[in-house]
Amino acid sequence: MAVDAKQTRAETRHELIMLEPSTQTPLSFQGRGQGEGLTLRQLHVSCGYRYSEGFHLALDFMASSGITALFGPSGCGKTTTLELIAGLRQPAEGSIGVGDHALFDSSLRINFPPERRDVGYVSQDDLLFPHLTVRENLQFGMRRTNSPRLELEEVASMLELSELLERRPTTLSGGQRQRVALGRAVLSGPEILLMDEPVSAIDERLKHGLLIALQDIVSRLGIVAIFVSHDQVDVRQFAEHVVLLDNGRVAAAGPTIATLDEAFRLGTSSVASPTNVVSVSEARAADGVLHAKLGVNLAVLPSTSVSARADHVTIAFRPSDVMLSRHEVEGLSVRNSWRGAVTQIVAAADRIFVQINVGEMIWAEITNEALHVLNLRVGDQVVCLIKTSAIQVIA
Amino acid sequence: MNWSPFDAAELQALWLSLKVSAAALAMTFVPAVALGWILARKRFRGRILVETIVMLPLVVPPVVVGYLLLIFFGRRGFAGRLLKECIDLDVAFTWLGAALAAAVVGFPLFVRSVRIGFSAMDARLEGMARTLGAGRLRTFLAVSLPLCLPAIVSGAVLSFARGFGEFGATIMIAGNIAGRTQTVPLAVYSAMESPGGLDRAWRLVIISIVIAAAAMLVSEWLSMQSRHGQKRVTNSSC
Repeated sequence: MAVDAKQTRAETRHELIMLEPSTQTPLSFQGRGQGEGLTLRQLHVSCGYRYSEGFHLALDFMASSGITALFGPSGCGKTTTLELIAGLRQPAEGSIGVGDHALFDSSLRINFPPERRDVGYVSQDDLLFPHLTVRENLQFGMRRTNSPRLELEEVASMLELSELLERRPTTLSGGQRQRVALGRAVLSGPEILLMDEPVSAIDERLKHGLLIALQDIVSRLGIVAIFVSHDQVDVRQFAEHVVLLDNGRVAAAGPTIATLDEAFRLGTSSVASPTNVVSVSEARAADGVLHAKLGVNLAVLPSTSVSARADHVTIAFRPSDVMLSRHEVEGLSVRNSWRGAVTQIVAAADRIFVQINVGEMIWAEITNEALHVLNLRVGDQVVCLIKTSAIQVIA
Repeated sequence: MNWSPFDAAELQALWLSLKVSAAALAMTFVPAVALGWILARKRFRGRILVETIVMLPLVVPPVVVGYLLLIFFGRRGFAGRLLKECIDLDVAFTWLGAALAAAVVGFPLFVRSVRIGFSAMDARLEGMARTLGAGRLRTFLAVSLPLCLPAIVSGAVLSFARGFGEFGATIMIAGNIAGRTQTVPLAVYSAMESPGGLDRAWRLVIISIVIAAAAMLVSEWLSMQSRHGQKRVTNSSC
């Protein structure tokens, strides 16, 4: 199986993996209502860029209104991709455009400067203007738009910046600075919002609230948002679509979960292992824990503050924390015991990943030896055992 | 003038020196900031040549600078004739000649300071301003210039002080005409040569030292401010 995966990787690395043959454009949001009669925007990037060190970046992907993640190992060209779209770097050839409006086109000799591209860019280190207050930083890009679609006060309260408006960036913490950078980009009224690891300096407690606020802003404005991330959990949870970059090329693109799982199955090196981010329903507190439904199974989750209000809860756990058993086991302290059928078995290097349908698809990592002893085959019924404490309730 | 330790001639020299240095500063401000920015930001062919030419007055003997200025701006020099014919302006042997000499010798110090200031500033802030809709001009005026202001002021102060003390180039192009082109350094020289002029020389030497020391202090303090600011920025972005 490992050999299969490697062969397929060689074939698929340079092209888009079309996961839904019915969809013409892999990243389109056709049929997804954006509400308020907003027209759908579509960004297309099809260009090459040469680094002075000789490394070559060849990009070919599209992104529609909504959140698209740019995912890949470090040094694969993610940040450069954002800079090319923002106009901070110039491609060697090709074109970049929104709808039928070209931002860059080497054959037509079009190259709009950054200030005329309507992009909002949040760089990895926030790059706030140190000589301006937080309020002045937020206002810096606001004069571009004649009719601001968002108010400063509104964005400030969404990003929990209201108390900091008169402070200087140098007096803020890393997380606060990143939030100001995010607010500044959003307030400039962009058509395209580019974010380079926008939540890397923000602590877990605020991170998910922030990403949800971001999701809200993006869908309200109907803009194209692209975020670079190395965190598969964030990508799986917040990006509707994903573009996988691998060694300067687009390895795969499409709906997030399916694309990541497929890329992993095919052995794309940017997805060395899958991870589990699933949503459960009907969450309610019970005896110091949280009970929720996962298909026909009962999920027992650690109790957290986020869960109190949410009917739908998103949880994450590592495949290595999932134990597999052929039979129901009695008398265990492990409270999660989910039944399901094996849907696929993937060998990645010396590790075995088993995908099980327990109402949602989840991955379990087991050893090669365990695979043989249990004699697992696709279609077999198994029981997945996961300790409550191994599960993270993320939203 | 009981309140002043200086007599009329000394005050005249002092006033002339300040006027000459200020005029030199006014002449060099825009070109020095522009050239400093270009040298910090742009990579172009012949950059080293430009840098060398700009820095040359720093190492060439001032007398040589003055000689070349005289050749160029003198009555029979190319620029001198042009200025005379077009706007009836005499440069050689006027206070303007002294200002020109001060400008040329102060220019390299000014450019150097500005260039270091722009180099120390994170150029990506300019790119960020552009993505926020600011054109080149607004980016320069609203981001680059304020962030480099300490370096610019520090360069201005240094070049002012250098111009104030200028001797060799000044005496070549402007001469040493009391009341017209005799700046403080020239007045010190003349006082030394005239009998009983030692007291006057002393007074002028002391005021020169005071002005130079004040300029150095201001410049140091500003560059400290600038470094401090830059450091805080990089620290908190990590």
